[in-house]
This record gives sequence, structure tokens and C-alpha cells, in this order.
Amino acid sequence: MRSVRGWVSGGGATVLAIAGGVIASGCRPDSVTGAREQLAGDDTRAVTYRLPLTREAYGPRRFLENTTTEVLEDGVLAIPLPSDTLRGPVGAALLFTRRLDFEIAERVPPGALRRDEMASAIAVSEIRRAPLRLVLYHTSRATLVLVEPSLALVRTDASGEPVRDDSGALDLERGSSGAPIRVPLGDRLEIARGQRFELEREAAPVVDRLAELLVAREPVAIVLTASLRVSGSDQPRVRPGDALFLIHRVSVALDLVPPDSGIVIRRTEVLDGLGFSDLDADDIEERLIGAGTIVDVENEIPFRLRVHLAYVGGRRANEDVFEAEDRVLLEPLTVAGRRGPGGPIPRETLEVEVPGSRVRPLLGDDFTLGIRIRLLPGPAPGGRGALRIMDLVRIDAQVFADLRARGGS
Amino acid sequence: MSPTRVRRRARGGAGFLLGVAVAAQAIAVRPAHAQEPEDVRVEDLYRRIPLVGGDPFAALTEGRRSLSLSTHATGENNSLGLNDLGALLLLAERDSLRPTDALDALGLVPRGDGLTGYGTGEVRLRVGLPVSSRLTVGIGLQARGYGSFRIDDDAVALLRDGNATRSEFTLGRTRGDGLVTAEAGVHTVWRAAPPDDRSSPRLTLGAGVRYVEPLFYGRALSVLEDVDPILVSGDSVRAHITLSTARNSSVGAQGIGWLGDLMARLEWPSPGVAFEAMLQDLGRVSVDRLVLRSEEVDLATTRLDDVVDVVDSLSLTVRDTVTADVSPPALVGLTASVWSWAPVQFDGRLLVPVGGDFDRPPPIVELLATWRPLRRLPLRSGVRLGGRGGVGVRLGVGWEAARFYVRGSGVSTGGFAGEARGLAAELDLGLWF
Repeated sequence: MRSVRGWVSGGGATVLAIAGGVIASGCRPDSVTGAREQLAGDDTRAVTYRLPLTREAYGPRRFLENTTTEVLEDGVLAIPLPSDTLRGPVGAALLFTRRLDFEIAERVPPGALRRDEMASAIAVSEIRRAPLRLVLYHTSRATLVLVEPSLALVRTDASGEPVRDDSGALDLERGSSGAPIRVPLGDRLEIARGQRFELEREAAPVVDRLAELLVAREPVAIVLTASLRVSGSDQPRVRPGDALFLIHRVSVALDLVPPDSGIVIRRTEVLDGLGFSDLDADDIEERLIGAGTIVDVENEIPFRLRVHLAYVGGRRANEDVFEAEDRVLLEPLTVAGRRGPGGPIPRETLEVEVPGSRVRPLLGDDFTLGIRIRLLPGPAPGGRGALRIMDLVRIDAQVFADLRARGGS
Repeated sequence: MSPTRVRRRARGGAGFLLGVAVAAQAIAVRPAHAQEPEDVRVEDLYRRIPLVGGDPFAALTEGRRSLSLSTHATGENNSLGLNDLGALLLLAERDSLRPTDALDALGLVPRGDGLTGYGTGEVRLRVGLPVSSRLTVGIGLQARGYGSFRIDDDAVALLRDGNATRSEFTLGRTRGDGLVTAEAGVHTVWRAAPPDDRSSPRLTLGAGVRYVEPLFYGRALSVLEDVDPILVSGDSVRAHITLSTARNSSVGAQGIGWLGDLMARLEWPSPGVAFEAMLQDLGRVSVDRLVLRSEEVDLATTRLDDVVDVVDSLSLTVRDTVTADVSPPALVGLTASVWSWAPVQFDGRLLVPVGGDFDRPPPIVELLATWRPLRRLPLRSGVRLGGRGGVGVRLGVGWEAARFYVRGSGVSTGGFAGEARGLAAELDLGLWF
């Protein structure tokens, strides 16, 4: 059997040697160039490959990935502002006067609304919804009554004190009509001793202005004003150190009207390329006879979108891809906003031919994709819309490349 | 060693000893005509032209003592010519093989057929010994190798044609097989009339059996689960495939098998006409210690690097070790020969591969002419149709004398020289004594 194996080895080697000799002598080109020409042949054809650029779904959470968010009962996303406790002295004089003009003002910390891209965008939008939750309690042994209480805003001076007019009254922030911007809390709130009084209100007008001032770095305080009385049915006792406390918690719902210039959201992602070496990529680039991009966007959110995409080769997450000199900028695509949660989902596809060289950044190990989404006023009256947690923007971008290749039979 | 295996070896050994005994008797009973080969017309010794690719009855039909050493190799594919292979080899050697070169090479794969290849090789040593004036026994040792592969056109199409116009592909019938055997065989040829009787028709019947020891067997294939095609679109990749291999972990004695060969030839020497039918490699080979490995790939992703990760991490897991029956491709050969118009002999031959566990090549039709400018110098040329390589030519030359012969032939398919997509070469050395 060993000799048979020897035959096999010997015969195989002989055959290989003969075949190798034939190929080496008569069928091998002299050079790499000659070999390429042999393989390339005379007939050529175009082979088209479709390559993924990105296929991502962007929800409001991804728009706000650096911001703390919460989801309201109807699915609308909101940004909670830090809760704060305001304290105002009641004073024993109340027992004698039985009625007192009451105000509490507390400066809002400058970092209450992060000054990131989205927060800034929200600030320039018109906020249409801001749920406010209040808790009121006091330390006196009396039943206090707040008559016509309201929340408002007042700017503060350098020492943190509220700005007042010449008469000494608080100089409240005013709307376009000239009237103070207030959130009425009711006609009459009666708070028994030891009781925590809770209520919810819509505070959009106040929060809209608050967001503007915070982003503009204007010092501002939230102020509670009311006429304070003591209910006379029991035996009230108010000591000099007694105080009324107000705990407020407000969220900025992403229910808003973007400005006409839109809200711009930018994302940069490092993605894997096709993994060719530089030599191979150069070779492929030489064979490119055409290329193009297909961008397809589905828009479930109620705002009109304008999507810009650009990419550069390599891992360059810290750069603004749109500003890079060697960027490849794709044609922007505009998609209508969705008309209500149950409405049809608008979709747009744009196919554009580009020079083949623009595919080159995708051939290496990595490339960096820049995405710029501009939210524009939607189809609802006034352009208003609410970003719900389940609403997505799906971006599917592909590149197709036509390569010159030897013709098949 | 298992009892079954012992029995098999015993049968094989007994068969071989029987052959040796018959040979010893044949040497002792030496027919008179074998001492006088010069009396026979030289060309009549070589009327029967062996099949390219191994002929188990070669040199046995003449009723003479013979010692022959034959070797042949066949390699064939349906796409790449020798020039293309040479170019690919050169680029690979110089580390200059680029993806676009591979793309160009794939452009040669015919649409609808995929990339296929087939190869055989054989080395054979045989002694032919006349037992009587009508019966000749041949005892031979040989080593053979078979191999084939197929990359289904649906799999090739992804790279060759791109994924712009279609996004679903399959691995289809993609597979590869290889079998290497060592064989010992006994073949007998019985003639109805003595070889020196040129007046009556000659009927020659042949039969033989070969004891086969598989030295190595390997197989690789893929199975698409749930008949789901592989989706490779511009935005996602989805595949559910099971890849499996079965092969011996080493080269060596791996089992046992028996293969049979049959032949019938009817020849009219005077007008110079012959018809022959042959059935070769009929049987199965049992291969032991086949290690089965498989890996299931379930992939659904939108990212290309996930695909690369899956391929990189592919590790076929050992599932079982089994014994399997393997059938090499059987060959049916039908031949018609005429040499009425001496000095030219014409042969027409139809070769049909049948059955087998390998990827069978298509049938082949071969037309061959033998011209002897000198009695001992045959020049053979012919054309081949069919097979994997397409149209081909066969050329051969030799020195065929009364006491010895040496001859070689080559077949080129799909074109000549560098354009050839298939080659077959054969070299025969023989002594009459």
C-alpha cells in the first residue's frame, strides 16, 4: 500500500509538473500588466453593485440622546426641568391683617435647561405644552387661603433679587400684548394645616419664555403671587417663622411650532466600509465608470424634514463632516410631515448619479457619516406638532457603483 | 478492527491471491503464439484504442503477455482557459491579485452554468497473461483520484452580475468532492476465436473487478434552510445556511470497496469494422471514519461588518464520525471503429458518465483518426464534443512495435493551447513478451 501511495504522490507530482510546465512555458504572461490584459479581455460590461450607506431609524430619543427625557401619557416626549422648592414667609402679621399680598420668587438655576443643540432648538420654537405639577403646604396652625394665585416669571438682578418697577411691584415678564405672562392656578386655593395641596396646570406660555431666557443666559426667577388670607372658622395660630412652601415640577413637552428656519439636528456616525486595502480600493476606483446614491426617507413625525447626508473616509467622529474639505455631500431630500398619528407615512426617494470617485471613501475600513436633519413646521395648523416616542424617521441611503468588468458569455 | 472490516479485508486478500494463482498458471502455460508476435501484423495489435482516462481492458484483448505502465491526468473546467489560469497564477505569485482581476475572471463563467471543474488522475501497472488461446487475465495495481467541484451559477451571480437588478441568491448545487483510492484488480478477457483467426468475426468479452481501498475522501456542500434564498440587497443581508463537510482526518486506508468493469467487443478483421461497449467503475466504496462537520449560519443584518464577522468566526463543529458509501462516476463507453480504408482507422466514441456521487461531466462524443505514415508510427487526431470544456481536439503519437509500445496523447477542450479550458494527457508504456 505504501508503494501505491508512492505512485499517487509521484503520479500527482508528475501531472502537476507537466501542467505547471505547460502553463509556465506557454500560457503565462510576462508581466503583471500582461496578466491583467489577459484577464480583462476585449469585451467589457458594467457590473452594478448596491452598497449600504446607512439604514437607521431616528426617534426623538436619538434627537435628544444627551438630554434627560420623559414620556408623557399620550406618548409625547418631554424634557423635565429640575424640580425646585420655593419658600415664602407667612408672618404673624397675617393674624391681624387677615389678608396679605404674598409673593415667592426663586431664581431658576442657569443649567436647568441644558444648552445643547436640541434645547437651543426648542428654545427658538414656540412651546405649546408644558405640564406643571405643584405641591403647596405650610407650617402654620391655620388654614391658609390663596386667592387668585398665579405663576409668572421675573428677571433677577446681579444679586439674584427680582427686578421691580418704580412702585416696588415685581416687573413680570410680559407677552407680545404687553400683559404679564401668567399661569393662573385657580381662583381660590384653601390649604388646611398639615395638608399637602397638589394640582396640575398647563404652563406652556411661562415655560416657552423661561426656555428662551435660560438659553439666552438671562437670569430669571419663577414667582408665585397671590393674596393670602387666613380662614376664620378655627383658631388660627401663625408664628413668625411659619412659611408657605411651593414645590414645582415642570416638563417641556416636544409639542411645539418650529421656527421657519427649522430645528437642526446633527449626528455623526463612524461606520464600517467595505474593508479594501488602499491598493485594492485604488484599483476599484480605476474601474468605476459611474455611481449614484439613493436616499429614501420615511417620516412618521409631524414635522416636515429636510435631510442632508455627507461622508468622508476614515474615523473622523470628532469632525463636522459637512465642513470637511474632502466630504462627499449627497443631494438633500425633503419629506412632508405626517398628518396626525394615524395618517399615512410620507416617504420620499431621491436617486442621483454622481462621479465614480465619490464612492472611494466607502471602500476602506471605515467611513464617517454626517447626518443633518432639519425639522420644519409641519402640515398641522400653525405648523405645530408633537414628537411622540414611537415616531421615527427612517433614513435608508445606498450607493450604487458601476464597475467595468470583462464581459460574460 | 471490527469483524466486518476483517471480513472485508479477508475477501479482498483472497481475491488478490486468486489473481496471483491464475497468473502463475498462465506463466506456466505459455501459449505458442505468444512467442511469435512478429507473425502478427503490427497494426492489428493496436486496433483497440484505449479510452483516455483509464481503460481497464487495455492490452488484454490481444491474447499476449504484456506488461504495461499507464498514467493519465484530466483536468477540465468550463470557464477559465490556460492563459487565464496562467495570468491568475502570475498575479497571485507577485501579490498583485486584485478584486477586479477576480471580477474579470468571474466574467468568464458562463451564465446559467456556474463554475464547474472536474479532474481525474491515475497511475496503473498491469501484467496481462494469457491463460489459454482464448482467455487472458490481467492483474493490476493502480492508484486513482477523482475530484469535482461546482459553484452554482446563482452563487457566482452575486459577484459576477452585481446586486442591482437582483437581490436574491442561492448557493444551489454548490459542492466539492474528492476521492483518492488505491486499487488492485483482476480482469479477464475471453475471445470467441483465436487471435490469429482473421477469417471470422471476433467476439471479445471482458469482465473485471477491482478491490478498492479509499485513501482519502472529502466532501463539502451547503444546504439552504427552508428554501430561503440569500438576500443581499443594498440595505440588508439575510441568509440561513447550513454548511457541512465530510472528510477523513488523514490520508491512509479508510475503508473498502469493489468496482467492476465490463466490456463486449465485436470485430470483423477482414472488412475492418468493430463495435464495442464498455461499462467501467460500477460499484461503491465504503469509506470509514468520515468526520462530519457542520455549521449553521443564520444572518440578518444591515451591516456589512456583521457578515465579515460571521465569515471570520465560521468554525465547523464536529457532529459525528460515520461510515459512508461513495460511488465514483461510472462510465458507459460505446465505440465504433472502421479501418477498411487503410492506412487510416476511424473511431467514433460516445462516453456517458452515469450515476456516482460526484458532479458528473456531460456526455462526450469523440471522433478519432489514426494514420500510420510508418507501420509502427501512429499519428492520432480527433475532435471532442461535449464535456465541460466544450469542443476539443485530441492529438497523439507513439511507437507501436511488435514487442513494445510507447504512446502519448493529449486532449485539449474549449480551444487550443492557451485557450484550452480542459486538458487530458495520457502516457502508456508497454511490453509484449
